[in-house]
Amino acid sequence: MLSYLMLYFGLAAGALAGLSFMIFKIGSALADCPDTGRAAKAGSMTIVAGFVAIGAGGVILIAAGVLAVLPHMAPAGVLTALGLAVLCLGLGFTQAVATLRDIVAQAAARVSAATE
Amino acid sequence: MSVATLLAPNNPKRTIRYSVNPTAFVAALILAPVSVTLLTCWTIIGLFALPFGAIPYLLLGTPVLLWAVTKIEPAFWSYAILGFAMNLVCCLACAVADALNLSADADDLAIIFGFGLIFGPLYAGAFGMLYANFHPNRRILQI
Repeated sequence: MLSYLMLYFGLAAGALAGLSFMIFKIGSALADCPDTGRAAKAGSMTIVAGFVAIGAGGVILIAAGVLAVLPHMAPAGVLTALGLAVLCLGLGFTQAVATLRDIVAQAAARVSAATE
Repeated sequence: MSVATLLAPNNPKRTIRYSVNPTAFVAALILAPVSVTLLTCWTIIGLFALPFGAIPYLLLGTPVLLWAVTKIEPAFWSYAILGFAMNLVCCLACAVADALNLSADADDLAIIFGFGLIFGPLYAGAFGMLYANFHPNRRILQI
């Protein structure tokens, strides 16, 4: 049971760390723009902080829920929990990227409104 | 293409995404089945629907609702239709699995999803209503 828990938390934490790193990478790629770079940098840092906290909470909640319901189905329970956790982390990631793009688009709209 | 033309209502390339509030999502996700159970507990079926339905609701509903809050404007009826469609697909899948003798549990699951045809839409619709009320400043993202 303990080894399954460790496997689950290891893989889920790896997915969480990888997706957080990718948000940082997207943020630093958007930070090259002289007009909206600062907004992209600050936005990506804020979003990563929220994503890590909410994602870690979700991963722990899914572990508690699924492993409490299926304690005697250890491999199936771990696979269910892991699949649900990665699915929800991925959906959260797409929302994080959409929010980041919204921040950059708003900054660009402000810049073009100021220069016109 | 400028932001204004991209977000114009008649632009076919426009993809609408709504801003998401995680706190409102989690609160609505937990409170929706609880409030439906409180309102339907006098039917007894509504009382027993929660222990049977909580696991399918959380396992299937969480990812579907997480996707839906970005795409569908939260309201009772649109989310109730989504919950009914999801339940219908699962119910039919269990019926097919039962007919093909794929799993010994398929007939039990088909009964659970059969009652879910009533309570799935109620849970999802209550979620949509609660989420719309909990989200402080919902707006369309400029993406």
